[in-house]
Amino acid sequence: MKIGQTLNHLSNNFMLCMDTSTSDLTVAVLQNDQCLKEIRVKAERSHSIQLIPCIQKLLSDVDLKMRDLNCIAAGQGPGSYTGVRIAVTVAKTLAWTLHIPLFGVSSLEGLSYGINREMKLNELGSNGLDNWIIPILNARRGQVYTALYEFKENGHENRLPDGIRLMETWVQQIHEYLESQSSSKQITFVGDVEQFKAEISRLEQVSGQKMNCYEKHMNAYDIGLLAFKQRDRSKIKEPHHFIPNYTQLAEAEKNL
Amino acid sequence: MNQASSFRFHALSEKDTKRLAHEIAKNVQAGNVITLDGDLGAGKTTFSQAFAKEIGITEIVNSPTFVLIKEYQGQELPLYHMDVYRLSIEEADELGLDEYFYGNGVCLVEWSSKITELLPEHRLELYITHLGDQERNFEITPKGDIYIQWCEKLKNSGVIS
Repeated sequence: MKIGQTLNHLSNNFMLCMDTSTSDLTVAVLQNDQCLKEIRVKAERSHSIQLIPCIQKLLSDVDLKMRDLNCIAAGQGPGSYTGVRIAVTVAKTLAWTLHIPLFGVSSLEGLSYGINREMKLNELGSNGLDNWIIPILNARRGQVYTALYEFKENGHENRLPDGIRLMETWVQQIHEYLESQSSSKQITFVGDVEQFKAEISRLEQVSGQKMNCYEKHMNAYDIGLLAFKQRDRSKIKEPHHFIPNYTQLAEAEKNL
Repeated sequence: MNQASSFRFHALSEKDTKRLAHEIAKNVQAGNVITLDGDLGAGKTTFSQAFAKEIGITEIVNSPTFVLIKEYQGQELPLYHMDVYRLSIEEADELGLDEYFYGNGVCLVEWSSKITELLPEHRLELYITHLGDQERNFEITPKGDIYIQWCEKLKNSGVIS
């Protein structure tokens, strides 16, 4: 694989991005950090049937062929098990057959990055405060796939890792973490917020602070933007070793 | 949760097994889980096939031993037919079975005892014992109110004892 050579030219190149970790299916083509086109469909359980046709339509809409692509980025989860493995499989297969670099991006980070982008664009939230973005995707049995990302003016960082957590105790943990901070934060929940509004409003009560809540969809564009930001050689995945991040096992091991 | 007590159904022939499938299938809704256990050849797949027919599946239903999960579209509900015999707990965990158990269809889980700790709390358990030729005993254990109601109803109408 001519990774080094490809990367030297990456700045002019086309990236195919995809995510199937939620009930949505989303694909996009980026040229550098510009989105040429994005498609999102409500796939529910049909990711496996729809992903390839969506990619074909996407590429034909922007008049590109598979061989014009220079790298691939995929949401690696965590999220729906039956969903996430579809994009991971398609992404690794394409990267391997086309001999182009493959980037794995946290789907939860993608969702957080997207809402931060939209909040800035639409001037939502409290100006000047660091934004703690908490993506939540329903993992059933009262659990969520979640994390905590802190967004500041000049970038963002993961504060609490991607994982599967009981929503009830997770809001408690967030509260304690918030208490330990020296500066105030604004808190933004994004994803399946409607289904967990009871827990979120409990957090509002104990913390005495209003939460921003957005029922946002995943955008492959954000997966691509994150991949673009991390496009140094060390972040490239070896296709054969690229696997979904389910996170469930880690939790099970913790309970042993 | 209510104390689980068991019921019995004695099948003298495959026709009886089909009748039980018919009676159980009348109740099903999205999110129902029915487990099937018993020795090799006890009749788990026979029951599954009869059940599938009852909910309007016209495709051929066979044992999903090697593919683990098969999805079929019934008249009103999809059927998720699983055979977890070959799975370890770790592997089953990675499959994300909850998306099926709490999904939009009805689940039939063959060899469910392999993954007991991953099963939803509420379910209908069928344990089949081979008594000879086509004769079978079904031990039926409802877990959770809705399944207990199913069984009470079946008992009142004389289907099971």
